[in-house]
Amino acid sequence: MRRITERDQSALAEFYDQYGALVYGMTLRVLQDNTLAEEAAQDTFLKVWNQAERWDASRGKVVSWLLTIARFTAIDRLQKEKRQAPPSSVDIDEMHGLGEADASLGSMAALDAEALRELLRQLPAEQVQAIELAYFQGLSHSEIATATGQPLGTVKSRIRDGMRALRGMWLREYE
Amino acid sequence: MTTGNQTKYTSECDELSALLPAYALGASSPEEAARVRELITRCPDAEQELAQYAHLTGMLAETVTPVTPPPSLRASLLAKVAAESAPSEASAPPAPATAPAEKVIPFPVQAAPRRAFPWRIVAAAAVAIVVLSNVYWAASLNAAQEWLASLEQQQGDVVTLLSADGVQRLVLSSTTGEQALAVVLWSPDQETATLVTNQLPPLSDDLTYQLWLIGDAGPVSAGLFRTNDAQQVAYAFDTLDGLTSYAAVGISVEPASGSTAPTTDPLAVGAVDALDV
Repeated sequence: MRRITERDQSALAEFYDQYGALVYGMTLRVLQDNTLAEEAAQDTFLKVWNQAERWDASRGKVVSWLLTIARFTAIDRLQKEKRQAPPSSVDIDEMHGLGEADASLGSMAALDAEALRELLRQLPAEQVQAIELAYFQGLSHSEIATATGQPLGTVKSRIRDGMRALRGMWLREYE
Repeated sequence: MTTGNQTKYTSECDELSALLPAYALGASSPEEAARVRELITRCPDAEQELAQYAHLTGMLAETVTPVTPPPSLRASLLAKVAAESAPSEASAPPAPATAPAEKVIPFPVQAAPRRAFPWRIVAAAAVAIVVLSNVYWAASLNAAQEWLASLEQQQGDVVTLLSADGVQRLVLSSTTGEQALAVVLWSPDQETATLVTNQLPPLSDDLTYQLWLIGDAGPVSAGLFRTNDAQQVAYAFDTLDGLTSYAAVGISVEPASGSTAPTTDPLAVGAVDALDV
């Protein structure tokens, strides 16, 4: 990363080789379209190129930072494609800030991806759907309600209950 | 959404606990997000709970299956990077008219005391987010003029200011979106400036808006203000050493008696650099 800050183009190439598939996987998940996903993936790496100095090791894993940028870049593009107003309550640096709070986890073991997939499999499908719409599409409660035709209260409950259940399962199993 | 004047500690923290999952996901409405920021400092377990939700949210990214992109993507990316690096390094910052999607205000919800919020970084970053494009300003100016006409009787001097020559206009943008929340009108030869807006929601009686002038020494209070019954504000304030001695102007929500330094994160910020003084 430091080399990228120093405008070392070969460093960016190496970075892309290491993380390109993860980024493209994310943008594809959000956009569900090859062309748009490729553009969003490219934009993500361009942002890394132009803003590398914003990341440092105290900010946690570079993968998390990178995937947050990828997700928001893709969501942004999704909003443009749908000609929607950008979500007004989602702030990318706020999301970065939240993700950096690992130190506050206390004695909890960090969760890994496979464990989380397993936990997700145990949730009711409609809760997973609501969570994924919020996360991968960047939708707010009311936007999810509109998209799914569900009442707002139902959407809020599903997200809250689903996330609480995940947290509960995590606390019980991985403490 | 608040429970009136009830500030029972337990119920507030229960309320917060219910809001945290969506907040970590980014699914909250702006009101819910503001509520979380307001309550988070008052509930001791909330920081850790939020960190756990944030961790879960962050891990969702890693549940995505990697997909190898086409080789053309790599080639295209590297070609772009090479092309961008070729011209002079003295290139200007990216055209502000596109108002980039990253809202560049670090907003870490940490265990550190609330007052450690980096308002100085806000001042520097505000340059990147405040856009004073002509089209944008025209829309605000029209809107401002329309409702200011209704204030004319009480606040005749504000209307005069708005149409006077030499009046500088500084737009304060929302920190959670790209919309303008307020405008500061200022004549450089005057010691007072006026904050006008009809975009701020009314607050409960135990809270107030506070205006801050942000300079090298951090934020300095420029006083407290409230919205009137028509949700309008025309607040005249002393610019102390003149607006250009500061880097930015900000608005935060504070307890009704005000605070000596901001205790909540800014609702709106405007960079003084963006004035065409």
